[in-house]
Amino acid sequence: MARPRKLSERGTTVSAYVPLSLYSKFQRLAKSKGLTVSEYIYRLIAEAVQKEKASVPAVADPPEDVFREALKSLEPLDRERVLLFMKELEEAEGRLARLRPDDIKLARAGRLTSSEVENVRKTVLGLKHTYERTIKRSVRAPDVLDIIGERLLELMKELGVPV
Amino acid sequence: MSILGRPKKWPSWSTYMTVYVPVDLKEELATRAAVRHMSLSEYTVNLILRGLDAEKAEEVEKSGKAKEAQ
Repeated sequence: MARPRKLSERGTTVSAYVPLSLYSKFQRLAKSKGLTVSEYIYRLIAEAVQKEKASVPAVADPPEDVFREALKSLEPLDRERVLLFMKELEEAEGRLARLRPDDIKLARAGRLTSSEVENVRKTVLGLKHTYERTIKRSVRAPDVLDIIGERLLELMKELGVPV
Repeated sequence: MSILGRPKKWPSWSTYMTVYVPVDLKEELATRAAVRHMSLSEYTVNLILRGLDAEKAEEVEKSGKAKEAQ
């Protein structure tokens, strides 16, 4: 008789390089919970991803103080760069929100339907380049980069822009 | 430093760990890692450590509540 599948959907493996001491710790913890190391780690990863996703709405509309605090740590020039970038990002988000849902679906699948979609896509590509060439190189605050990066990633996903 | 000159990722003895996950999750992890300019392995280890911290925090909170109830 065939062995039952561990996951109901298609599964694959992810490899991670970890210190031996950490691996031993995982073995101990997994054993104490009656799970295999793989099952235990899968749960940890799934929970961490969920938490990260849950923080995205907060990121999309960040509480003033969190973002302001993060901005405070930047040099004035970098702060200006980030604010300008955020303004352009918000404009692109607004334009995306005004597109028809069917057009967005096709764009996500890599098929462009209208010139408006093409224009928004070009803007997002431009933002991606600015992020990688300017923002990421000059801004050294991980909090700020995380906030901007998550929002840009969402836009790129919606428009089928390759990472 | 190793013999080849490349710095070791971990100073102590290390090993590879393989986790069985749904394909969708792996794709999501790969995208998120790419955005952060990290390898899939590095990003996964970060997530695992974060998950472990969250689990510890939950346990501490639970034990605190249990003590309060007593």
